[in-house]
Amino acid sequence: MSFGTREISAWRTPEIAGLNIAYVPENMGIFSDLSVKENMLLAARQAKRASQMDEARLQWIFSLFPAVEKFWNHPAGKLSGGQKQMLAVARAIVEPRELLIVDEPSKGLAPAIINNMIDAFAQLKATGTTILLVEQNINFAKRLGDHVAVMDNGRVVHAGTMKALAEDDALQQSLLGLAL
Amino acid sequence: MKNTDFDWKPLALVPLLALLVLPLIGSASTWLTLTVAGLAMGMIVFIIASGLTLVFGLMDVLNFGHGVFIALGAFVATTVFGLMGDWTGSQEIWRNLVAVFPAMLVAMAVSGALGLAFERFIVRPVYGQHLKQILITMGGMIIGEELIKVIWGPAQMALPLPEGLRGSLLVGDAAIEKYRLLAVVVGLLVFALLAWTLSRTKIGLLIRAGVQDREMVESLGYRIKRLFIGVFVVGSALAGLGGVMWGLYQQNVTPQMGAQVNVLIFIVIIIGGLGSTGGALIGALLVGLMANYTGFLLPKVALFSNIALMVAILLWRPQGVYPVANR
Amino acid sequence: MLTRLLSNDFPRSRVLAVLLVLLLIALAGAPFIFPGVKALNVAAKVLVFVVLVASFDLLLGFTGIVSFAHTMFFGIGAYGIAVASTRLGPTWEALGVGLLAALALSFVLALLVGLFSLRVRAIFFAMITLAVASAFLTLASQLSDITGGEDGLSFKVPEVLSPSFEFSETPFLGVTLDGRLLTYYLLFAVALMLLLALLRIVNSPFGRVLQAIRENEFRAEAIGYRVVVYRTTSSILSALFACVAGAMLALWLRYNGPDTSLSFEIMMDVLLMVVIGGMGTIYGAAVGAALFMVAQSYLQDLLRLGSEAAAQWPWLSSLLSPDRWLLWLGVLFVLSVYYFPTGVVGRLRAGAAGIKV
Repeated sequence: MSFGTREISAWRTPEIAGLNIAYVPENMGIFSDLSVKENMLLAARQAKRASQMDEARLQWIFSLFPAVEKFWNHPAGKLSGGQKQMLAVARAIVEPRELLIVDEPSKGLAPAIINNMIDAFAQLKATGTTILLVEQNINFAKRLGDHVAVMDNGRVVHAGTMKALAEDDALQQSLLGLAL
Repeated sequence: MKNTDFDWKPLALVPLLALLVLPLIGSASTWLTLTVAGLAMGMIVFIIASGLTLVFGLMDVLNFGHGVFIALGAFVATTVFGLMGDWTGSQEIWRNLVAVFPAMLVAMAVSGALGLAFERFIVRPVYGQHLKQILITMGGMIIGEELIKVIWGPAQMALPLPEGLRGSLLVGDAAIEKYRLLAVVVGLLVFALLAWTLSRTKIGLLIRAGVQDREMVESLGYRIKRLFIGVFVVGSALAGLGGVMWGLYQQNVTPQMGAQVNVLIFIVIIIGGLGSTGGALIGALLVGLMANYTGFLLPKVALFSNIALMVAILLWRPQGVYPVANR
Repeated sequence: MLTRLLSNDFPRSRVLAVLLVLLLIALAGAPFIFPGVKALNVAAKVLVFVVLVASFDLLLGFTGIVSFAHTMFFGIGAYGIAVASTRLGPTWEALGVGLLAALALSFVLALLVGLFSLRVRAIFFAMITLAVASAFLTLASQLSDITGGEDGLSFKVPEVLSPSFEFSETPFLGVTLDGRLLTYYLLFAVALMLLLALLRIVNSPFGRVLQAIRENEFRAEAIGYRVVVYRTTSSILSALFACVAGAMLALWLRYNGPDTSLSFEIMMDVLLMVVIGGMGTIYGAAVGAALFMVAQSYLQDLLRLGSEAAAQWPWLSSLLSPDRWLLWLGVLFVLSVYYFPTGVVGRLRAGAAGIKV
């Protein structure tokens, strides 16, 4: 496994993350006893104090995910599922990263929030961040992805461009059992 | 702290216990003396237990040998005191403190250094294996205890209080020992320092997060292992400090004191919840008070009373009074 | 017949089999093979500890429960005999009453401890048992009316077992045939029976379920085994065996005190024996106990020699002092946990099976 020019198979988690990679796990990995602010501060590797976090970037995040600003000083455990998911993503983008690995962000989210999230990722993409998205929701993935790999039972059964997949109903039918 | 509903019930247990016992004791002045003694003892136990609970909370390491740092700290202090006889012999408090603080610092440094070695050679090879940790850390404690006997001899040594710190202040009818007040002050200082570090610094944040979800903290790019070594060393140093204070409290030191205090510490962190500093404080205060009250009322059941207290608390909250999330 | 006796649990290693046979012979013939009081004492202690350590192995090695309260049951057995003999006189009835009372008390306490262990996590449990054992030790010292306090109780045993009883004028093979000899063989018979019984238990369906629970409790419960029942039963059985071991000790020493049976050192010794011998094997208990007792008695002499030889370097001499026996024990303990995790028996068996450990 390699990242850029580096062979990282044997590396340990903190070291891999140190390559400016952010990870949003499926279970969100929120620290429930810590406040939203503290969760964000943790993810801001360069900041020693909350005041050192990039103010402009924070404002941008607040515009994408209003809940993060609203519950800034509250314990993260009190947030709803959707809000936690937003916090998890917010954490991953509090500083510019080269690669974002996101695992099933739309799971259990209301459609309105999903749209928010798609917007956020689209804006992120525009800043040059590479996003590795694992998703079950083809609509979500379709609107964001450039390349796609479809997996079945742990094996990659199709890889190609998203555009090609989106335009090919028959292919969608055979891979996913539906055409969208 | 933040907009949490602060869980005040466990905190209320401390004054509750004190008040419940008042009618049993009868005289208010005796009660006051015992309560201060209990709080002092509790603070000393807290200083020792705080390190242990964080070590467990952060890295899931069970150090059954924590007692060795206590004993080492106490013995080192005895030696230092021995060298500073003219300072401890003086009646003036400030002179005494000039002896006491270096003794504490040296004890902490030595204990911390031993902690570093302990982590490297005894604990690190058995990360993640609880049974082996229990066995090995106990083995480590035995080795430590015997080495103390080699260096200082197997017998009990006296650790008399410096002259100026002896005796009591009179508050109404109650005699309150000066040293015990000092212990309470030092304990509160340590707690304040720990609380400040944990809540206001990034390292403290990392510790609190790591206690909840170690893997996620690593995913955020932090090398938790290094942090852990630091916490272990600080915990050992604090145990050394606690050892000095315990030795002064008892006015003697024995090589077995580590093993003896070990049991109390375990009771304290179980009551408090493994990983919680606040819980350790409450547990320690309760244990200290309980030990002193029963020592006065029913001396024979002193140790049992603490066990009964622990069982009672576990029946109420099986994970301790402030359980740490995600465990 | 041997198969049934050993419950189909063979040593599975030629070296181990030889060692065990040698041990059996040595213990069976100890009074005749090894002259002197000290050797017999060592042999008797080996017998007692084989039972104690094997009972601990049932709990730790087979059920996976770490309990530091094991010496409590050892002490109860010893005190049962001691108190009964002191109060009721040196009769067989007294012994019987004492043993039964001790077993009953052990049963109840083991039941409580076993049930409590399921309410709390393993780590809590280990710490709590440590606290309970300490408390029990203090209690034994304090109830001096019953237990003789710090000084303990010295008592007489039934005449047949006492040293002054000689059932034959002429010595046999150089050994006087007295009550002491009889006591020794009584202990030997009991130890052998109990060891075989433990082998039977761990190789029974019950024992297999215990191992399943140790490996994966959740799964065992999911398959349908009520973990509560098995664990509690294992705790109780283990406690009962330990209790009998205590009775054996008291009978041999004709004395019992808090340090004889309840001390923390004994708990550590048991841990060491079970780790060095090999956890989860029962045979490990025999090997561990034998190695340990022999080493303890004779290593101290060795240390004394070393200490005297190093007299010119006070620190070295101090390190090698026979009083610091526990230091070397501790070092040995730590090393065996690292390098010898399966113990002697595990190593031998793996070697025999061609597996590199």
